[in-house]
Amino acid sequence: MTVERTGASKSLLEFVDRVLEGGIILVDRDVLLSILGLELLVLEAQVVTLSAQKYLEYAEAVGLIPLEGPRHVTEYVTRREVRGRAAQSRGLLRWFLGLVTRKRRGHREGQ
Amino acid sequence: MEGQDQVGSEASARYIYAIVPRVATADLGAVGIAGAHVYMLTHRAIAAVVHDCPPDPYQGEPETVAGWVKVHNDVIDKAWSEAGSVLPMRFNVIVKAEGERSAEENVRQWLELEYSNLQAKLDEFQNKVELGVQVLWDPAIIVQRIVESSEEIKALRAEMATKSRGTAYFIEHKIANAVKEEMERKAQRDFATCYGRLKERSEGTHVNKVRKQDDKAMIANLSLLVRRERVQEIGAVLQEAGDEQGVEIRFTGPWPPYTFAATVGVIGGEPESSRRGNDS
Repeated sequence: MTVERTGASKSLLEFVDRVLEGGIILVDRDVLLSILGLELLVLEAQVVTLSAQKYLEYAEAVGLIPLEGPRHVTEYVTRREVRGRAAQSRGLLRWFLGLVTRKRRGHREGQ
Repeated sequence: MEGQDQVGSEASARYIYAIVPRVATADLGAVGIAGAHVYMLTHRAIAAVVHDCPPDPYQGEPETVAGWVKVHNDVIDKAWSEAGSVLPMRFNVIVKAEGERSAEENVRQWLELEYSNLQAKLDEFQNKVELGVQVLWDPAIIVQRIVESSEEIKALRAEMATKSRGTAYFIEHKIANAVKEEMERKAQRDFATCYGRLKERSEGTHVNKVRKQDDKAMIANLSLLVRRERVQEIGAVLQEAGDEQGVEIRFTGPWPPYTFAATVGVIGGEPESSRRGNDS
């Protein structure tokens, strides 16, 4: 029997899943409108910062990605982005369409 | 970045930890990242848990960042226990001043814009916690169990013993494939059983990426949104699921609902007054 209740000593991996990949993020609307939804994850926010590079270094430190040179890191980034997009595209799209709709309505009202 | 910052760079931005329902305690003390003073930036019935900082992301050595990540979570835990419900932010979300508008005004503007959304989410997460569940296999033990229990593999092994070297070599390959297939079937079966039993006891479930482990195979990495009073019950279900040779279950929590609060908010830009009217 090996159920490990690790409430007191949550592992780094668990922190990565939650504190670095979950939670609310904020993006600058100007950045957002220029990149159209699906590109969202590659943005380096201006008003709001998410420090992706540091995340990668951190992920290396806790053994999530191999330290085998920059090529691998790049590949990892690409894979992460692709996976991230696939997983989030539905939600993002819904949210983004809502935003565009609101924006259009706003424009119309302004005219 | 600093050029746009009207107030100066020292502490003109706000690092946001979480959104909580308004509470009497406005000051959490010097418990923040790098000892920062954490307080509640209140707007109507909700508040952002923040500290003042320069308009730059927190960067440092990986060990330092790992420490900050934990502090980030500790602050959220503290605010959560004060306020009863919480919407955690991701690590390193910093709002800075922009043009004429201060960082605080930017934060308030976002709170106002998303007010009903945030309030509804806070209500929804009241009395609920996130649990992390990881199911890991010890491949050596699982393979051994499969080899010993599968009739197909048993037959192949018996056949192999009677054959010439060349034929035995091919049968060996067949056995390897059979083990691999059986492992995949078992992983799917175990995952489905475990997931089904957890899902019916949870308010929400999320399947996370499986992580690479040194000597274990992770077959499931789940986040569950669970009513506080059902945490023990979930523990019992996992106890049962983990009661199998070669299977290890890691069960962490309670976490603030990071996975279930995950969303993208939009901030900054033009004033929202005209858009606001359209939303209602």
